[in-house]
Amino acid sequence: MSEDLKIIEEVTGSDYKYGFVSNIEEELAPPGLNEEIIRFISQKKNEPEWLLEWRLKAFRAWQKMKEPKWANIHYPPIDFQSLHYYAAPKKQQRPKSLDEIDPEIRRTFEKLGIPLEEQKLLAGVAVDAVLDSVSVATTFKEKLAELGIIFCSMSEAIQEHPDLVRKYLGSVVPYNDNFYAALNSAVFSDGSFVYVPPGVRCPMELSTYFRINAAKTGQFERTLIIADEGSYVSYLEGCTAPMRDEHQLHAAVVELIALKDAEIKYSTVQNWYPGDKEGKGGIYNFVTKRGICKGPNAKISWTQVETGSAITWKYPSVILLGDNSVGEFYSIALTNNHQQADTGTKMIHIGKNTRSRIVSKSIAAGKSNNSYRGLVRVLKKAENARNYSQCDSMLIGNRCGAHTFPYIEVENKTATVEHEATVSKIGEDMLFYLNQRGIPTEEAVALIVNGFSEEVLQHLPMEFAVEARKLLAISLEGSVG
Amino acid sequence: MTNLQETKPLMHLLSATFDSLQSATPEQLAHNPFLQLRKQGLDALARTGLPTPRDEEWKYLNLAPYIRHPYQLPAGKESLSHLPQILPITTIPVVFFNGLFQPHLLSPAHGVTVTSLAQLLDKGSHDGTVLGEQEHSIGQLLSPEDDPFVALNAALLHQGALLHITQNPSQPIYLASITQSDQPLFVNLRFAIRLSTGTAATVILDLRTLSKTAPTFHNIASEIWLETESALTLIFLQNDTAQNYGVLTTRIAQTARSRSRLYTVTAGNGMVRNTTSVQLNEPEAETVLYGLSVLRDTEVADHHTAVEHLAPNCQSSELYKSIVADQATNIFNGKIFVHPEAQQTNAYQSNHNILLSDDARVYTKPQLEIFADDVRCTHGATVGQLPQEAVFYLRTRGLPETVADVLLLHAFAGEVYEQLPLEPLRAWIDQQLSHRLFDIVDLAADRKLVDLQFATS
Repeated sequence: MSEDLKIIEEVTGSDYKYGFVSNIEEELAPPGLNEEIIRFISQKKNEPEWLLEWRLKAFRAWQKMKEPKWANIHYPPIDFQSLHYYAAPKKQQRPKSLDEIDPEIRRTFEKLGIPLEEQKLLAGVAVDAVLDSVSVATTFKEKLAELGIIFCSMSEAIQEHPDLVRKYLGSVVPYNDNFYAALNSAVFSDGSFVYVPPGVRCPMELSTYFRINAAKTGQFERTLIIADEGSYVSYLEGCTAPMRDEHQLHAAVVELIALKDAEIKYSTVQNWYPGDKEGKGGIYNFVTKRGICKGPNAKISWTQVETGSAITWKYPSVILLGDNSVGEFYSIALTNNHQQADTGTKMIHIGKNTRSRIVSKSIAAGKSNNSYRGLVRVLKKAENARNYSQCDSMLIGNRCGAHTFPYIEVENKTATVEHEATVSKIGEDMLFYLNQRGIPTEEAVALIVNGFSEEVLQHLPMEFAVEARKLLAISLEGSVG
Repeated sequence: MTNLQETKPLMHLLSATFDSLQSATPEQLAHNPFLQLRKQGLDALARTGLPTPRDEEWKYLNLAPYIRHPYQLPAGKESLSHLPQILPITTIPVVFFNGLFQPHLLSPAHGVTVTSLAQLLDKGSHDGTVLGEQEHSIGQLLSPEDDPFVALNAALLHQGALLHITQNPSQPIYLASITQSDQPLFVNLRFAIRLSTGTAATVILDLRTLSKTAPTFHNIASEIWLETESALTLIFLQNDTAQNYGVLTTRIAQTARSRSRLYTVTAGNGMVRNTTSVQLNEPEAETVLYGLSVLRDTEVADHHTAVEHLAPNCQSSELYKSIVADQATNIFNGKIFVHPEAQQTNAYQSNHNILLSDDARVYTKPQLEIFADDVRCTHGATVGQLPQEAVFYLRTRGLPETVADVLLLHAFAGEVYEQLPLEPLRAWIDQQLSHRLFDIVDLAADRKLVDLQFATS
């Protein structure tokens, strides 16, 4: 093994910048999707019978569905039969400590700066690192276990907490919710599972690093977070991906469940490979994210910084079922070159006195297209519902496009819904002012964009906010002048 | 033709069109633009059928209850002896009674040429142009491919009028459809209006029915050209009765420095769908769109607007408001497109809604699509109720609750039509709306009283 690794290291180590491929032996299922593959995945993961049935149900529903076409995005048709639906790093047994982990995987994480090491403990971040579909390491588990918090991979949760998984899996995003959610339900490989028991405030930010690795592998993550009565959890998700020529499909599903008085804060920084300047390559990010405030006074807050992916297509949503529950959505979507984004949120007001707030900032540069699409729905029973939405767009250059599609549906007279949107550009006077003070144009643009995005950035956890600011600057490189 | 089975609503109306196309020789078809348009309409309808809520553009409007009646197209020679006094102003009346043009009501007016479309067609003329220019001809702005009701309008193409305004007319032009029938009536009208350079005109498009027993369904398509520096005020009156339904598709093409100002008042007709689009094709063109719905019972108003900025330095602004009571529904979809060449665009849009009942619904979708960077575009939308502080303030001054409510609603609505240029017409609209608001609020007060009695008994 060491001999092989050395050669591989020589070949790969010399040549990578931001995207790279880590060379781990992978176990690939043959390409294509049929019931056999689903049985294979389920068997590989040693899943109980009910889960296999659920996957098959989803697959059958998926077969009857048509690929949705309504979004404001354009891409060549995806051949779902040419994708691999399972890729897992080979392993002999479950690693018991960090030392047992394949050094190549460890190196990959180091490149990404994932704090697996002992000294990173001080950073206060527990990481459930997902490298292609299977979780290889989970830290801080003991510490969380003391509080009764379960933070593990989905496969592990299926083995060890089947009751919880069975109760909540698919309860927010049903297996037949939409085309990509059905696909995910049929073939999901792994993901994260969090359960916070009643009254517990999770003492650290839980975080997962997703990485797409093996070529031509669609990644189908499934995340399930349950905050029991009166608990609090903050979850971070961040992504990087290696340089690739071929489009890769990512169709994840995230389900959040906040029971009475519970609060979930879910933050995403997404910087997957956006394709090169000509729009070649890049990830397709078609994700279904939804949370439900199940009990009274629950709160779910989504914060996202979307700078990567060739196509981003997602709407983190909140169903405000419990009385007095609160839903929030803070988003920055930045597109450059040929990137496309169609993102926004849905706030479904069902309970009384429910409140929601939407702040969306989109920045389009190069030849990119950036759309906000949102729905605020106040149902008949939702007395005194309150919504405030703000969608600001910034255009850099005149070959890009900004689009706003807000849907407002109100069926209760006591509702108060406000929506406003503006479109603007980076003013020459602003640039001139900053240039005059010796700030180069590119830095000045980053500065202005940061200011424009401030309202959202301040809702990110500290570590993420720093990263996000850098990301915004990097993503805009070459867009001015 | 398989899609046009007679069992589907409205499709039985098409049999005459179908026959006329069957009997036409290929040569006739090749040289007659009217026949071609009918055929295009028929083909488009066969392909798409009538819209359902599954179509994004018709998402919240369920047409089924309005199109299910056994409608008939106008037949015979019905005529209206004199124009009933509806509006408090003198006008140039271009009137259609039970779907048929009434030339005897029209006296020659200076600066306006009115041509009856039916007359052209019956004479066998193939000229659908407004004053002989191909670019200003029927079918140039509205294509049957755009929308199923435009397709239906083209397929049934017969009645309508071509208006050419060459000098400022002294009075507003009153384009009115008046019906009186015991049978459900389908009125299909096509208008083409052209304003020559430098002219200014006011056009009122009014839908009236005098019948109490049977519904009338209007399908009206209008194409309007504004030449350089011309100015049009277009007023849609939709404050008739519950049995009066309408689908109105209007497209305005504007050239340099032209101005258009549109007012839509929807307060009475059972169902109205307005699909209004304005193309600003040349620099410094300007458009203003005002819309007001005051709805009660099961009335439905659906306003779809689209403003396309295709040239630099154009301006558009839009203000739509609604007051929705009982089980009524107001739908608003406002699109603004700013194309890459349309730098220095100013586009504003706002939509405000007040709900007065728990069964009332408001669906709103303000939509921006921007492809130019040096632009100022904003939109805002709100849904809410009367501010209780304001009601309280008025009550402390001794106003009864109903009066306070009406006062505030009236002020809210007034912003939409207070700029209307014809003072007697503005006052008339204001009075009609005030009455309606009093009715709505009074009823709500009655209901509160009943609720109270229930609670205490």
